[in-house]
Amino acid sequence: MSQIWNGFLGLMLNSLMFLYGLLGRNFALSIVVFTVLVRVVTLPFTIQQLRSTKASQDMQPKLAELQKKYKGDKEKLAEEQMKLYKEAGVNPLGCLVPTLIQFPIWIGLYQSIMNAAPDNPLQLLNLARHIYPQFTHLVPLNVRFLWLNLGRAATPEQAAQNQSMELMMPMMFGFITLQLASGLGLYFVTTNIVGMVQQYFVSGLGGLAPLLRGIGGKVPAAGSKDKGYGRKK
Amino acid sequence: MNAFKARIGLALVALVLLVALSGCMGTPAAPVWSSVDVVGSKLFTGSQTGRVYALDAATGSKTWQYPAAEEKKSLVGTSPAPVIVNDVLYIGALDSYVYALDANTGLQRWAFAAGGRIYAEATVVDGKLYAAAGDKVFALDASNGAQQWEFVANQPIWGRPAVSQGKVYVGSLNHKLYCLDAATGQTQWEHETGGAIAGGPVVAGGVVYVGSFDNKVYALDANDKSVRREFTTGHWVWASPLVVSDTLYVASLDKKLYAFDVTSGAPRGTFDAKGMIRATPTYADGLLYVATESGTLWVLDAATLQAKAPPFEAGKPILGSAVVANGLVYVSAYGDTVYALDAQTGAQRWNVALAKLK
Repeated sequence: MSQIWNGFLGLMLNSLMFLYGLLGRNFALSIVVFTVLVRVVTLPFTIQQLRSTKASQDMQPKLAELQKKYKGDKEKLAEEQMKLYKEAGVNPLGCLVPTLIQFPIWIGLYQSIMNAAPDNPLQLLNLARHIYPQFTHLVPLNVRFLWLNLGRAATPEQAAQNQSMELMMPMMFGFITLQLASGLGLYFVTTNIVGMVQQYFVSGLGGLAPLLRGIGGKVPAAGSKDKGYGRKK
Repeated sequence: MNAFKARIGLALVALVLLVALSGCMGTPAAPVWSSVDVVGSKLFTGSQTGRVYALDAATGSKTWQYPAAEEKKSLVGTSPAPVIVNDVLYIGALDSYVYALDANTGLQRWAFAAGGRIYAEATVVDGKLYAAAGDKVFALDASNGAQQWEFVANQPIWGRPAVSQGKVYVGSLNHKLYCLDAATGQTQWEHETGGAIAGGPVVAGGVVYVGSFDNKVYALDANDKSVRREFTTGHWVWASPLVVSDTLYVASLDKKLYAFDVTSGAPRGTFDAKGMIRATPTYADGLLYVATESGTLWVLDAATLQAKAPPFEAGKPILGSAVVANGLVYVSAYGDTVYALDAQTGAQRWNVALAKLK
């Protein structure tokens, strides 16, 4: 199993090194291009996952009604919920499979960037283990810089629940990234920007709408959530 | 709008706290490997746990350790082998300090704040200590640690400085080999290779040899940097080249040891070590000791590159060079286990896990 994983990791790492050589040895640019390429390859899974998540979110008011109606009867509640999911054609675990498929790719992407920019002799030795002979002349060097989280919760409800997380996550990731290679920070930023764009086209602005309205953006009223917060379906 | 301003304010406060917190905590320790040196009846070694040990070379029993067991202080990690000159032990550490310890007692003589992680052995010549830390090379008075000069390469220096004929030679990950004036630190010349230089150069017969991550070893005239010869391998050359008489030995991460004629550059043979070779091979009494990242120590005939004894398997990577003394060969494997083997047969005499020493 570890041999398969090492082979997969080596493939990703050497793809990154190939881009590094191709793009004038600009490691920042190669990370951005590599991340975007991987996100494009996994796009079908991402869209499937986002659509499934959006459908589940749209059902929340009806599910809340059911919970109110069958408060004391858990069996009936479960039955009605399954019925609702079936009628809407939504699989409650629909977002799980695409996420599981993408997970090793994300880990591989993350690890390949981490391995490609060694910070100490042991990491450099680890890079030597994975790098293909034709790319041995390419060794990006590590530099550190500050990174801020660009991620955000998808809906106003989740935003309310995760308010404290929103404050903590940038702090946590910022702190972690300060200790890691700069390339990882760049990966975080790129993958989040691509993820945000993908999410916009599937779910609209979501919880960002009130924020944008607050700073003067022309955004439809919060009550128009069924219209996808400004994005025409 | 007020809520938005409040959130921006909170984010700024968080940012300031974050930077302050990061400054307090510093950079986390990087993994290292330990290397040994033997002088007389004592073996000296650093450790991944940031302590320096002196052991009885015959039995492996502990003589002293620094910092002492009851002290909470740690040097974070010590990768380079200790260097012992006139009963003083010099070692650099990941806490960015160069330490001078009494080799008999382990008591600290002095410590120098170098301001950068130290991965390379120091070199002591004529009462002067040359140490690479971060992207700098320092020249210190070996008796008291007083700084005499510093040189900045702008990229990390992980290889040991070589000193010869009043010149200091040092390579950097910025691909360059520098020749500095040993008295002033002024650059005499620099030569750019095709890859990072992570190992230390060596000087022999007026020629400086240095390995590079462009898979080559360069032989340059020590005075005018003219390229005498280039030797090519199949992967990065991290270990320092080894010159014995008229033979140049080059260890490569392609798992091979190469032998070349120093004068003509003609290949004399190769040995497949079946593991990446990071450590510089050691020569003693017609034998070569070659340690690999896969945890094997080979004993080879230096003339034929044929194995002279069954290989010793440590089970963990051996990344520091072997040391031969008292009829034994000593190596440290990753994880801080020191082995003493018969220098001729490779048979194990003793081993010590430093973490278990009391």
